[in-house]
Amino acid sequence: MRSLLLVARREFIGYWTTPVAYVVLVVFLVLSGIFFFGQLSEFVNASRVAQSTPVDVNQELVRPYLYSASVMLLFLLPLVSMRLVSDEIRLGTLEILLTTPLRESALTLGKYLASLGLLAVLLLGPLAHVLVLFVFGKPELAPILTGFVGLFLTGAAYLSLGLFVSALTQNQIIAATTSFAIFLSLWLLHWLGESTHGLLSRVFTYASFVDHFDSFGKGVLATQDFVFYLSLIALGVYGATQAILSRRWKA
Amino acid sequence: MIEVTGLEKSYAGFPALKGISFTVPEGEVTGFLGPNGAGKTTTLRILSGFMPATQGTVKIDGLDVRERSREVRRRVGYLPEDVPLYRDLTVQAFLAYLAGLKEVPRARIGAEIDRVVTATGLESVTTRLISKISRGYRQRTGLAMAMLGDPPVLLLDEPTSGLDPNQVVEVRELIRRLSGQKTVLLSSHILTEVAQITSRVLIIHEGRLVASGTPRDLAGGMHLERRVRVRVRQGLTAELWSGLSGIRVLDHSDGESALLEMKDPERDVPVLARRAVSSGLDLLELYEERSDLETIFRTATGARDA
Repeated sequence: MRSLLLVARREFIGYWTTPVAYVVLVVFLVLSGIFFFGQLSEFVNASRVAQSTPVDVNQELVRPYLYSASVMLLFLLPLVSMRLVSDEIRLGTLEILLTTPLRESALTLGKYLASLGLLAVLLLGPLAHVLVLFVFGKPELAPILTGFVGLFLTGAAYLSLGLFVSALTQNQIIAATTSFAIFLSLWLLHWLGESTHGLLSRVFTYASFVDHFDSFGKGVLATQDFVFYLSLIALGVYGATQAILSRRWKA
Repeated sequence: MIEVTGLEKSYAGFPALKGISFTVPEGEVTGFLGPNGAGKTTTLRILSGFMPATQGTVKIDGLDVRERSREVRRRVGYLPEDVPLYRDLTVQAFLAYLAGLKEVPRARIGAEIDRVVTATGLESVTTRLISKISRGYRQRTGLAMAMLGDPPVLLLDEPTSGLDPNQVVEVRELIRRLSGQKTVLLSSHILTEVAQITSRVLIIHEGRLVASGTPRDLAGGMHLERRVRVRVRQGLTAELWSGLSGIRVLDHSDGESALLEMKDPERDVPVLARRAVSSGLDLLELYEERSDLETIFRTATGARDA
């Protein structure tokens, strides 16, 4: 446990000693600010037009906003996960780590924990945006909180799969590109679900982020959604650990 | 104590090690010698627990490297080839991180870092980034890392490569001081270096152990000729060594010096000295050239004619 935390701390500090964390943070804040402003303006216009029927700030503003935040994470998180293991392979420092008593699982979990820390920092931006709404109105708190849980879990699933990909290559560009392709596919599967039938359709739909993310946005905390996200996370971390173990055999 | 039995390693069908066996007794500094690509790094990587062997066993202090990998890793300090380090950390932060991973108790980390920093002479650079220090300091940082936690066994892959001559001397001194306290296996392709640091040599070539023993044992076992250099002010002739058996003249191009290959210098060198003095020559030099190890190496690796 101590080694795991040491790896996590080293990795988290490491993000801030290179420009990566700053660039990702600034880009995310600027883009999410633009999204928020745009969606807020649209919402204000819509509420002026439809004065007789009140518009729901949770459904018409927060939900689409968190949806766009998840799309931004889709683009940015490959940059956060790409270096996690691949950099150690490229620099040869994996050899140092694997000849200390450190367990492979502690190595991957520690690195994963560090990336979750950066994700948490990133999400402070959208959280601040949404909190501003409480100054001017009375949005419902519960669906906002569940929405953020869904956003965090989506980011956590991206990062875990990105960690796995990062353990398969020493090339960061390959790691980022492949991760991006996998993340995007997990959204697009929903599409395949719509154009197929029967079991196949259900499998595609279940494997896609869309419905799971959406149910968090609606304020629903369902076991099956947690199972979906936690399985993806476990798969990524386990895969990364196995990839490092197999690298010992190939080295 | 390191015990290696029938070690084999193949990379995708290519045999890098073809069954090597050796023992490094406790507290002894042993040199691991061979041309580049002979299998030195592969062997050290297996011994360090970084990767498994295809066949054969390795025991460190009686513990099997594969079955009790973590216990073995606690006992081994390993300096990998090319010294991979985190360039974004300071020397101090790097050593603190590795001390933690090597399970040095939290309260002792500070003292442990001081100990290895002093031993490797890194005091002046502890607060500097590893990316900003010289190659020599990086090599020493790697050595300091291997010594963290005071492991009884040290595996050092080319510990002096890339150092300037002064730094090489310092690192050699450091390793020599470990003799008697630590079991050390260090690899090198520089023969004279191994002769200076280690008491025993293992020679590996194309994945096989081709010779082992002290440099002197090896010379004796291979019936190698030894070389003696004679230098006088003037008038050196073949008369000086006439009648002595087992002597071959390698070089005698002028009247001032000669290089002789002899089977028994202990018997013949005093004779040469007496003859030189009694025939009135001004004897300037009479010494055995320390090139034994080079010869052993070339003989063992079959490159004598190359």
